[in-house]
This record gives sequence, C-alpha cells and structure tokens, in this order.
Amino acid sequence: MGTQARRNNLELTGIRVVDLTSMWAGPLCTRILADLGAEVIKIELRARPDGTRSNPGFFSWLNWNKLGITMDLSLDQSRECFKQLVARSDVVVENFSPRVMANFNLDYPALKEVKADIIMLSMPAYGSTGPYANYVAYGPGLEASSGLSALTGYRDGPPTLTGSAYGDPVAGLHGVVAVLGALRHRRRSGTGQWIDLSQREALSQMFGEAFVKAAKGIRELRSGNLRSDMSPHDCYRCRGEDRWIAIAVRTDEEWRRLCETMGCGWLADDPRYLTLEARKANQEQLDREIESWTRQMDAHEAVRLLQEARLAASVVNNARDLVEDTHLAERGFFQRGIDLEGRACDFPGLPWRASGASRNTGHPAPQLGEHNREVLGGLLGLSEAQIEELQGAMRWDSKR
Amino acid sequence: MGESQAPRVLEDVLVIDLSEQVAGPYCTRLLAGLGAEVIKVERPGVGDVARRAEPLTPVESLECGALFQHLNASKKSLTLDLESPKGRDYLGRLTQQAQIVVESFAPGYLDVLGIGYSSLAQGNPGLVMTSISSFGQDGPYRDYAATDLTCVAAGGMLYLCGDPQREPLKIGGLQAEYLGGLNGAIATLAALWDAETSGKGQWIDVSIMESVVSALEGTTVAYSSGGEIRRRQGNRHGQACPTTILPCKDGYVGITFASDEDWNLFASMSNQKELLAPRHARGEDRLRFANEIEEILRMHFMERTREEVFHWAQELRLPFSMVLTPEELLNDPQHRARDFFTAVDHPVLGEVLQVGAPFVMGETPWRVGRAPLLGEHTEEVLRERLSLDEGEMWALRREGII
Repeated sequence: MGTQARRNNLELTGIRVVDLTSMWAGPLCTRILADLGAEVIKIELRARPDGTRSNPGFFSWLNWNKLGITMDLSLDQSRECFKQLVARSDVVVENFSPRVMANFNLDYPALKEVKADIIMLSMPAYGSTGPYANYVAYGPGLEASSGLSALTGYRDGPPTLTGSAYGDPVAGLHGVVAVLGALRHRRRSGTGQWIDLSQREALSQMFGEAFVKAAKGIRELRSGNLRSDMSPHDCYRCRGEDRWIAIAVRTDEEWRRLCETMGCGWLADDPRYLTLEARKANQEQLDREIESWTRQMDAHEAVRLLQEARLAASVVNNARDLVEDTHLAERGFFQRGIDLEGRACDFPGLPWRASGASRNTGHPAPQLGEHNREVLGGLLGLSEAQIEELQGAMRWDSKR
Repeated sequence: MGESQAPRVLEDVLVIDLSEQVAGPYCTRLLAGLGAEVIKVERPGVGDVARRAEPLTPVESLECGALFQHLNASKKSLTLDLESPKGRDYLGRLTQQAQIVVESFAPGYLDVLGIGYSSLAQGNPGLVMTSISSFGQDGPYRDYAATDLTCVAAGGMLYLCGDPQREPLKIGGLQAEYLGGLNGAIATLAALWDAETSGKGQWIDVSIMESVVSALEGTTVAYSSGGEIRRRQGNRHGQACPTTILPCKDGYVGITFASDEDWNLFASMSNQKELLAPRHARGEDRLRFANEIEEILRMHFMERTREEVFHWAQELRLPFSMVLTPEELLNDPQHRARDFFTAVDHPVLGEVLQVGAPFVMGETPWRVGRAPLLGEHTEEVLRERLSLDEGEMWALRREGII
C-alpha cells in the first residue's frame, strides 16, 4: 500500500483496521488508531456516505490518515469482498445497532470463521445485550440516559445538554483503549475477541462517583459551576462581548491573594468572606464583588495577573482563542491540514506527546471511494473489470 | 474471591502509580480494570487528597471519599515518602520491576527530586512513564495554577455549555480531569505496545487542556476553515433541530432528530397536525421555528410519562432518551440486565458500589475490586517486591518513610 506514509516509529505500523463506522464516536476511535500508525480502511455506502461529509472540516478531522472505499454490504458480492478484506485485517470496528451486522451475516462468529484471530469492536448505544440492545441514541441522548444531564445545569434550571455531544468522543476514546488491550492479548495468546462497548456505559465511567454516592443515599444536585470545597468557583464576566474568565479559589490564603490582585485587599479581612463556609454562605455578594473587578478587565489580562499571583484562573476560551493560543502553538498541538474542499484547517492533534514516536498526520481524509482501486485491486487482487462490476452493482450508484 | 480464571489483558504488567486526585487515577483505574497490578504510592499518613473528597460518611476520614472509591478500584496502596532519600531509593528499586509509571505532579517536580523519567529508565530501558498535567510539560502555561473548572474553561468546553444570555456552564463532574486520564490510558497502552515490540520505552506528556480541546465537536476546525465562533445554544444542540431536553409528565426526555425523515415520521405518528406543517419539514426551517416547535412538543410530552415517550419513540427507531438521575439508574433495567453495577465489601464503608467495565471484552474479563485503605499493601509490597524484613519495615515506619 503506497499512499500512506509509513514511518518506522509509529506504534501501530503493520496493523490493519476495517472501519464501518460513521459520524463521530467510531471515526474518532479509528482516527486515533490511524494516527498511531494503523492502516485504516473506511468503508462507506455510496448511496449513503458518512453523515459528517456534509460538514467537510469535521469529517476531514475525524477521517484523516484513512483510506476510503465504497461497498454495499447488502449485496452478496460486496459481502464476499468484505470478508476477503477481513481475512487480511487485524481489527474490525462498527457502530451500527446490534441487528445490522447479524442481518448481513457478518457478526463476530461469522468474521471469526474468515479470520480466526480477528478483533471486532462493536459500539452500539446501549450495548449488544439486554432489553435496550436495539435502541438507538446519539451523543446528546447518551448524556440524558447516562445520568450526566441530571448533573449538568444551573442551580435553578433544568437538566442541560453539554453542547458538545459529549457521549461521542468519550465512547470513541474508550474504544481505542479496548482495541489496544485486545491487540496486546492477541499478541500474547494468539486469540482475537469481540468487544461490546455500550456508549452509555462508557460515558457513565466519567462521573462514576455519582453512582457510588447514590448507592449510599447521597443525592447530587445540579449546582451550576459551584463546588462544595472551593469558593469562589465560577465564571465571571469581563470586558467585551461574551468574554468570561473562570476562577477557582482553593484556600483562604488564595482568597487573600485574589483580593490583593483585584486591588481590594480590605475584602480579605471582611468577615463575610473570611472562611470557605462564610464565602459559600455569601456567594452572591461575593460574586458581585469579583465581577465588579473582572468587568473592567480584558479577560486575558485578568488571567495573566491572577496567574502571576499563582491563582487558578483561565480565560473561558472560544474557538478563536484556542486557534490563536500561544501555548498550544508552542506545543504544536494543532495540525495544519486541508478539508475535503481544499480549505486550510487547524485540526486538533492528539493531546499527548511521546518522546519516542511521531504522528501519522500527513494525509487528508479520503474522498468517497478514493481508494477503491488501490484497496480492491492492490490488496484484494480484483481485476479492473471486477472492480467496475462491484461498484456498478451498487444501488443508486448514479446518484453521486 | 471466586475470581475468573480467564486471562486479563495486562495481568503480567506492574504499574507504579504516583498520581493523585482524578486524572492520573482514572488512567490507572483503566489499567487496573484491564488486569495490571497497580501499586499506588501515597504519602504516609496523608494519602491521595481525593480520599477525603465527596465524603460518603458524615465523619471525614481517609477512607470516606466517593471519588477515591471509584477511581482507585482494584489498586494496591503503598505509603512511601518520596521527599526522603530512602523513600526515593525504594521507589527506584520498585520501578526497576515495572513496565509503567504514571504521575501527575507539577511539571519538573520529579526531576527536582532526581526521580524523573531519565533516572527511572536507567537500567529499565523499556519503562513507559506517563506524565499527566494541566497544560503539559512545556510551553508558556506549564506552571499555571489550574483546577478542573479552569481546565474546561481553557479547553473551550465551558464556553459551549449553557444559556447564551448567562454565564458559561460547567458540565457535571470533573470532565477535564477524566479526559486527561482517558487519553493518558490510550497513550500508555500504545507506548506499552511499542515497548514490547522494540524494547524501548517512552516518556508520555499528556495535557489535560489539549484533552479537552480534542473532545470538542470540531469547533476549532469550524473557526479555522470558515471563521465561525460557535456559542452556547441554551439547552439545544447543533443543527439537528429539535435536539433538546423537554419536561414530560414525570420528568424529562431528551430528543434528537437526525434527519428530516425522522422528523416526518415523528410528526405523523404523534398525531400533532401543527408539526406536519410544511414550514417544519426541513431542518433549517425547524431551527428558525425552534421555540414554536418546542412549545408544541412540550404540551404533547406533558401528557405522557418518560417511559411512554421513550419506548414509543424507540419502537419507531427514533433516538429519544429518558433523563435519568444516578439514583434512578441504579435500578435501570438495561444496566441490571448487563450487571453493570456490582457491590464490593469495604472494611470501613461496608458495601460500596462499583461501576462496571467501560466495555465488555469476550475473552479477557474486567477486574472488579475495591479501592485500598491507605497503606494497606505497604508490607506486602516491601516484603514481596523488595525483600524487606520486619525489622527493616519497623525502622522505616519509625522514620516516617512508610
């Protein structure tokens, strides 16, 4: 396979992944595997490509470094081809609802017959067993059904969505953990396996303490940005439109430093704010005192002053702040690339650096079916005529 | 314990865990669940700060923290004073036997103590060391003070949640820290895979801020390619309108429409004539009439229970959900059918709930266990791993080193 950069120092060089996923959770999982050096072959239905293709930047970010082919698994010929591909692969990842792969006769037992040590990751919303097995959900729905929405919201408000479809990235990242684990087990034992990842169960990990408390009869209430062991602990409005900083004060001594930094040292001796309990009891007045300072300040300047006083504070960054952030730039976090339409984008890279490895970040996301010839011909050995026939057999092919 | 005999993914791997609070411990919780022997190194007499956070008992103690119980399941606890030369010496001898070290100190702290990556990897070239910090091991913010709140702010997630007229809203829990730990686990496993291929370990530098940015829904991509700065949408999400949480007879339901077909199906099956109006047929138009549509839906749902709406919609393959609280989820039929929660016995707290595996692996079972008491395994580790005898341990105890 010639198109992907093959560097020796990528961890997963030599691992091939067949990727049937679409949208966010699954594609993020396989994108990280691709970043780590795996060869990922993304399969799409020509008539119904990955829904995120309508959002070229987002799609390109989640699918860079992958090869793209088209197949229609409802066709016998395609399924045969798919099995040949699986026979030459290490990992299959899918995020359909559980009945889909079974209906195609391509569930784990079927794939195991084709490749005895295949690793298959399925990531349905609620898991592949149980009464909700065939129920569907997207990221926002998972927030609600996992319990996260009940914990998110203003003190006086309803359960609230995160605005980030948070269930998706969390499921995708846990999927990577599972695949890396299964690869290690296969290397040591020679055995592949099927992994059933319930996206709701993956998201539940991220606030597991709430379940531990609930089982002891301790009920957690929505508390906005407040926290029982710190005060002040909130967002404060700064100069400019929709500009905010977050401040978290952990000790009474930090409170004193905050007062001095704001130029109102007398507040530090005000009995209403002297201790954590006092500050919590007088939270609203306290917040007004702080905001009367922040409102006059530029957000970045305020944070600079607070950090000089070793206080935990940050600008509430928006997308522009992040893209222009000097710290992220210095660490080389964003990867400059192009989207499907050729526009330059700053793609978030992996959030860690490894002393001994580089990243596979050179290749833009594939156009629909871009690598059909290369994969079906080069890897599976199909003739030009067979490739044509396979592609031609797909329904609604002329629509594209 | 009646533990399963099936092999675990990391059963022969020793992890020395120097981390505390949330991010590092979540990373090592995943490694322990996968079967690694995780030895958590804690300060004598004090332990992990999270031991006291979010208490489960009215009386505060070193064993009361809910967060600690969740994050440190199936680990061992060794007390060791790393600020003493002897403590560092024992740590060095332990890490010689380890494949993985995880730490979350302020950047540079371990180097000052002389137990940074380069010293620990001497004589153990395959060692993987994972450092998780708020902003990473270098760069202008390296030494910035931070908490979970300021990290979700720095990472851009805070800006996107809440009412556009009000202050940005934190997502429930400690999501920046958990994301740092989750990415730390991925990086650690990838480096372990590599070390077992090449014999060479690595030092991994995980940034919590970057972990948050890379979990955003492509907001920085949208800005860099088209200049769009996404803002908070209130209790709504994205362009797939309506996606929101609405009240019903006995609580709340979450609704999403992935396509116009789904919307039309819903509109016709719910017998709501107004919803079938042509001005609601297309997603862009529904965005414009979102208030009106949500009002109609609210009236519709207020006559129905969560269960009715949820199951009715799912039968139509519509991705609706119920808004459930953690206490309600303890009896959720799906969680029960999958044995997602288990109870483990704890010597101080009695029965403690453990959240199940994040994924079910067919061949390699997840390890479920309880969190350790402070120093519970000190003697075991020193005896079995470092061959110390009773007298030596007694001396160390007297000096306050363990």
